Amino acid sequence: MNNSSHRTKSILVFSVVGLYLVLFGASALTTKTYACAFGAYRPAAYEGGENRLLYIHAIDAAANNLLFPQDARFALDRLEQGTRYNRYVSGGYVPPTLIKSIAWVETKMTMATKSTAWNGLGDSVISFDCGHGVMQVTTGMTNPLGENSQPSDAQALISTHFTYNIAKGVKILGAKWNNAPQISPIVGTDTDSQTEILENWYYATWAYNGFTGYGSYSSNHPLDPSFAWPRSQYSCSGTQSHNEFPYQELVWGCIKKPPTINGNPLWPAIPITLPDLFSTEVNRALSPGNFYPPYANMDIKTPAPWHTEVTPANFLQEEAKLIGRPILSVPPRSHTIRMNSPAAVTWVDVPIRNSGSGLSTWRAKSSVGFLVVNPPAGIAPGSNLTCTAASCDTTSLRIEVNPTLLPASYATGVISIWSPNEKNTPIEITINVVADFELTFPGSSKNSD
Amino acid sequence: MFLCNASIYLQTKIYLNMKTFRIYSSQRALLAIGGLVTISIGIAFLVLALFSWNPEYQWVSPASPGSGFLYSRFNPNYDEIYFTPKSDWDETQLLTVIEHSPNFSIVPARGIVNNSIAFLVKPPGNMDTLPTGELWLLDLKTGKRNLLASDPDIGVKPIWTRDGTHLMYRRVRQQVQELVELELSTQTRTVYAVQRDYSQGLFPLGEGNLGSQYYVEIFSNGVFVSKRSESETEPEICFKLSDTFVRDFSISPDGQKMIYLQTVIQSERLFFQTYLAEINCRDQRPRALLGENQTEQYSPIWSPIEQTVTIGTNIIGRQKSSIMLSNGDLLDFIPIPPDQPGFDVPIVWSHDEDYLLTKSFDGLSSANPGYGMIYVINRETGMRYKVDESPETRIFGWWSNE
Repeated sequence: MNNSSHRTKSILVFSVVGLYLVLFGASALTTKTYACAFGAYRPAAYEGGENRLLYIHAIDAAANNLLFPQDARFALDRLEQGTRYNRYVSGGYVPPTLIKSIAWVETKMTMATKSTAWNGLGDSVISFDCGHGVMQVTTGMTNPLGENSQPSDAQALISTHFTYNIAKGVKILGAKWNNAPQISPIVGTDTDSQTEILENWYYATWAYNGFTGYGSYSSNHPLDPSFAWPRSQYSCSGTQSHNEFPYQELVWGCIKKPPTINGNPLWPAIPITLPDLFSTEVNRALSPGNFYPPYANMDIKTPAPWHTEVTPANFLQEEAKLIGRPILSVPPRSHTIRMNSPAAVTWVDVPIRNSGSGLSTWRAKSSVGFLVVNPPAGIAPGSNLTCTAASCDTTSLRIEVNPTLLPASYATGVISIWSPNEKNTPIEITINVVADFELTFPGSSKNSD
Repeated sequence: MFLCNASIYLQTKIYLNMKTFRIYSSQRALLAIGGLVTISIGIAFLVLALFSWNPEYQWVSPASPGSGFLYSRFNPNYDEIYFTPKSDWDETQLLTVIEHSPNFSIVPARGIVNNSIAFLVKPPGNMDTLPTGELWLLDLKTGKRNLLASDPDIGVKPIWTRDGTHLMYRRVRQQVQELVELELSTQTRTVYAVQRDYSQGLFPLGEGNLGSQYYVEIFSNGVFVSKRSESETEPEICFKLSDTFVRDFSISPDGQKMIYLQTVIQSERLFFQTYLAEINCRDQRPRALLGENQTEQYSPIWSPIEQTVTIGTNIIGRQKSSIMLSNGDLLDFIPIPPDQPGFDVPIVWSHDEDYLLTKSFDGLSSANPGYGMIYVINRETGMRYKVDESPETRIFGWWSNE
């Protein structure tokens, strides 16, 4: 190979690398990148019907720990109650209406982004602070926690499957409750802090969004100067801005005045009571001098009048839809990607189906670096779930070739696809890549060395 | 991204052919590659320019010159800026729309300075629940907007300096609060207060009469006024406002005094009541403005000329409320009409102190305030004019649109 040819090759390589850097620089200036469990990818999620019935059933079940009682990742921990120095495990339930209201405040009780049609598939809703899905689960979702810096199965379930997402959100809320008395104050010094009383969940609800104090950044303290005063109660009608209220008042407002879908309230209204901020008891409890762990001086009585709601059912309704028996199905098991012409595409879309019931969360990983899976997780609805949107016809995994990592013009890799909510062996797909081609330009002549 | 893929594709082809020792090149090929690179760089710069360009927003100037109040009205995905002229309070005019993140209203800086307004907004694409947003300046003559800062805490209202050359706002860096002074002409930012380890929070307060910056600082043992440090020394804690809760603090137009609400106990309940303090860094005990008083008090503000302290009051138990005007030892009041329930919360005066903008609630007290709407009250006649029926309005202030 002579010097002229060597220089030519160098110029070509540097030009393309330079172009690559400029374009990525522009791209970086205009693209906000994520640092959440799935990085820049958004797993696909199933969005139920506009009436939210599926989510409400899931919440009713989660409130009473009926969804995944044997799965430590998603089971509701046994709730405690009692006074500060007399705490005991009661095994009570979380009031379902409280959870429904939280889900509404967080995402209007939706699992996928706004552009997703009801009864369809779309990108999972992920906020910039890594809140995922209906309950905006952030705990454990800010970094990939699986092997080789990949997301874990639990993270995939939380991000794609509304039942698991709701279960996890309820588990987190239960943990906030159980933080008392060690690192949380108690509401209900006069009612044994019973879990069934909605008003007793005031501090746990505050903590679900961040137990931030008077003067803090993102404060949820009801007397913080950043909130208007006097302020009308939050009406949950979409006509009031969220930044005028501490989080727990948003939730209380939606419990009192539930949102409606097509004129029908999503749940029966409960006239829940807020703490009286100007009673000496509450005002002293909330003062800045008491805002430090274990927050013992912040314990207060149950705001009166207090309320309970109908005990949630002790059986799982709609089990076939909420959990079901999914069966992952990925035919065919071999694909070839030919990159032997300028017009060739460098990917293949592999359809992924669920021939069983319920939702199948699926995950995919490649055995080789030159095959990239996109997205790395998704959801496949079974036939017993309504999935009528156009997006339902295109449940697929895109496998892309990174040509810079191809070891040779003919290479093979294996993609493993498995479901974290099924007991099945991973399904393996063989991908053959054929990339034997020549670079020419019109009018040029072939040079040979 | 298409161009990225194209470049990867080209790179791949070249690489693969090099691997198989079959590279085809020519001078024309080099020229073609060079041309492609140049064009791509040009496109990249165009993309950069496009994304940094402030798009045009629809702007409607007020129909005719004249003074009035400027305010915003909340909608789930955008806020509307309205002008209501003194010449006819019914002739409220929509000037422009500010898009924002769903359910997060804009937060105005109180006051119109050099025909400009400043406000905080959580931008439309930002879908998290954290209160970090952007600080914008809007020219009321042209409708042009300028982005001043991308890091303010939208939970804290920005404030103007008296001469209108700077804006003060709060931001958070690595979980530590900072108060920032932004000079408008140069857009230079200076941090003038940093949250200490044992402080729970900072709020900008304003300038004293000698030009020093004061701010409110919250500790576990109470709320204090602190003064900006002029050197490398620790900032000075000047005096204590309260052992518990304060709010609605502001400095008088001449920079010599401040007013604020703090909680006091009366008849085994707590009420917010107005306190007055001198703006200096001497130990002092602020005093209750209205003395021992069985009233719940709201939103004390200063009038711009007489520096009258204007307070909303509600006499507990008798459902009679009024706006109290205190100027030294003189007390005046603007009663609420006998047939109108509820209470008034003063917001801002007109520049000539002829008109007071209030939010009028129809409930009994702050515990159950009911529905609030903004009204203009003619100080001389006591006549009230409803400006907007929406309970979700935010006020910029009086604009002399001449």
